[in-house]
Amino acid sequence: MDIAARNVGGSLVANLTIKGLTKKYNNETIGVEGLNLEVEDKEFLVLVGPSGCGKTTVLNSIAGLIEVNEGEIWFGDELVSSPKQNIFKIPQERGVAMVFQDYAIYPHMTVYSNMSFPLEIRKIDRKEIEKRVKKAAHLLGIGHLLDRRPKALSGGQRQRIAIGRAIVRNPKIFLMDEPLANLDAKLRVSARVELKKLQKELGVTTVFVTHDQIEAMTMGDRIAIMNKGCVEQIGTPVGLYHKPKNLFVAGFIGSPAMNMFEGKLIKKEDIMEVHLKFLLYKFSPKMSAAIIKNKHSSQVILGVRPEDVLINKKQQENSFQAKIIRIEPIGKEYNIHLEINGSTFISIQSSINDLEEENIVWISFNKEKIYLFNLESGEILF
Amino acid sequence: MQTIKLTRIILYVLLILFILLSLLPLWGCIVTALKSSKEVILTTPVTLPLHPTMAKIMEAIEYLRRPLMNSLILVASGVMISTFFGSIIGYVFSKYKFRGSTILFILVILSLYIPPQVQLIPMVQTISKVGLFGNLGSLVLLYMLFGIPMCSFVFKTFYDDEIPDSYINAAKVDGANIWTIYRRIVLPLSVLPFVVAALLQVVVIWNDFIWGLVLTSGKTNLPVTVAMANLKGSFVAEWNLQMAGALWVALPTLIIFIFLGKYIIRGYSGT
Repeated sequence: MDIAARNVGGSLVANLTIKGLTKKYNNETIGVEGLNLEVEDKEFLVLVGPSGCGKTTVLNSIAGLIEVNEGEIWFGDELVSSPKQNIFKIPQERGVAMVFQDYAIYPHMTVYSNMSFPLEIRKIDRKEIEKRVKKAAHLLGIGHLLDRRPKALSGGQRQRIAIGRAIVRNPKIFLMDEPLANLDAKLRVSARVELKKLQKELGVTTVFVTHDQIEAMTMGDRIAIMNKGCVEQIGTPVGLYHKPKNLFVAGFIGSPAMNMFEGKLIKKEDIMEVHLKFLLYKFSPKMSAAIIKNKHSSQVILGVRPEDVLINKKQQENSFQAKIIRIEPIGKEYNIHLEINGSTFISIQSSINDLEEENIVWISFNKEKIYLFNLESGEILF
Repeated sequence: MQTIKLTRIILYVLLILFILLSLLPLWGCIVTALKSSKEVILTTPVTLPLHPTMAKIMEAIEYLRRPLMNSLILVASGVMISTFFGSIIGYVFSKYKFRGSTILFILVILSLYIPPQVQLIPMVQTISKVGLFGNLGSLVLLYMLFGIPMCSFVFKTFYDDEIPDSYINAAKVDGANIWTIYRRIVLPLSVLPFVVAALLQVVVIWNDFIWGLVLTSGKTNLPVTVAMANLKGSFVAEWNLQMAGALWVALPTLIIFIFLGKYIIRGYSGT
């Protein structure tokens, strides 16, 4: 059994369970409230949400850098944090590895010393340290930098050192706090791919925090979307995209964001209609039946993803006229900004043919891909 | 253009006047030290000596040799003890926040804001109770007492601003305990605050007069500032001897300020 396996409480399975975690700051502001989370062994879980939603608090709680007010944290079958039972393992005893947003590379040490630091502290044999550091450095392509001081190195190189320092320990749980946020856009894309590949190769259970939904979508096996200290929804990237549970998730995942229109839901015989400011949208009988089955409310939000906003030459069922205010070419696609009655929305088109700005066009929605949310609670109705 | 030039000229004239004014005591000190006793009486203190002599300067160093040594010992011990503890206290208050730590730290540095005149009598009583009255040990203890809060403040400010919390957190997660983190990470990055805090202490301890006057007795234990004051004779004021002594006393701090003044300014501005 190697060091890392011992670190995780003697259990070789490194799943992570969080039950009812609550963290209050200054006993008033709530950082995280009653959060439940289960991370499978070897899984890459992304915690994503706007700033101040509590995702870093969750990460620091797992690492043991902060003490929580309520709830339990389990590493495999070992309880590492439970205020109720007066259990709190300090970070030094938890055996997780963590990568920080600013990388926390020690400026007075060489790259080698930075990477060997966690091993030296564990009093591991010098030859073994050298072997592991060199292996990790080789894996990350920073073998030629080992004698250098971090001061002169680029952001990408520093980020690799930080990851190197984390992987030399063969940890079973990896915590990453926005490790790609300080890289420039181009580097971030390649770093995303490399990091994900590395995690798969090493088979390390990973919790990755980011505010960037594209990072979340591209890297996560599963994504937990956080908002105001709670998890709104957990699921696979594709699952969250197609089946958002509420308005927040629908609006957060997807770029450009889902178009949303406020309206009134009205039942007319067996047909459901949504009265928008500019359109009376009638659902098909089949869909109406499905909506009726769900709890219905009269004030709703109708959501359509930009790729499901269709531009037509002629009038059709459930279509309306809107003005093109801006065409943004973004390479293989175009973001077409449209306006009607003061509300703007976006359509993504693969070609624009003879469309021009200022044109008036007929718009319809892909009727299979329409979402309805309760205006007040934000919960999805359909 | 014309007005800008005029304001510039006025500015320079004012600055030069100010510099002359503030350098006047030093000038008076130098020229007086170089005068014979007769010439001191006959001339004004700022005129150049007609027959410059090194006699009094050499005489002063003879008197001050032992006190200079005493002050050197006080500075060395004061600086070492204060910076060492200051660094550790600053580290803990900066990186290990606990309930009430802010108030506690304010209490630590509060002593810096109590005037020494107020502390004089209680301090003398305490020191004599401890049995240190009259010897250098009393001053070592005292400078430590005043030096540690000052140094803690310098170090805490530096650690707050210059050493990110993530360094500490990363080391914790990597398995390092509070002492290892200090020794391996914080201490090697603390060269600057050590220089700043040490310089502040050197100047404070070297220039101290009142505590040295009150707490020491006997010729062998005097710090240099007190010994220098004693150079003024009991019946005749030997101004030239006293000025020569003052030059010797001021020399070390002057040299330090000329070469390392920027660090002292950093210390006072809290950066």
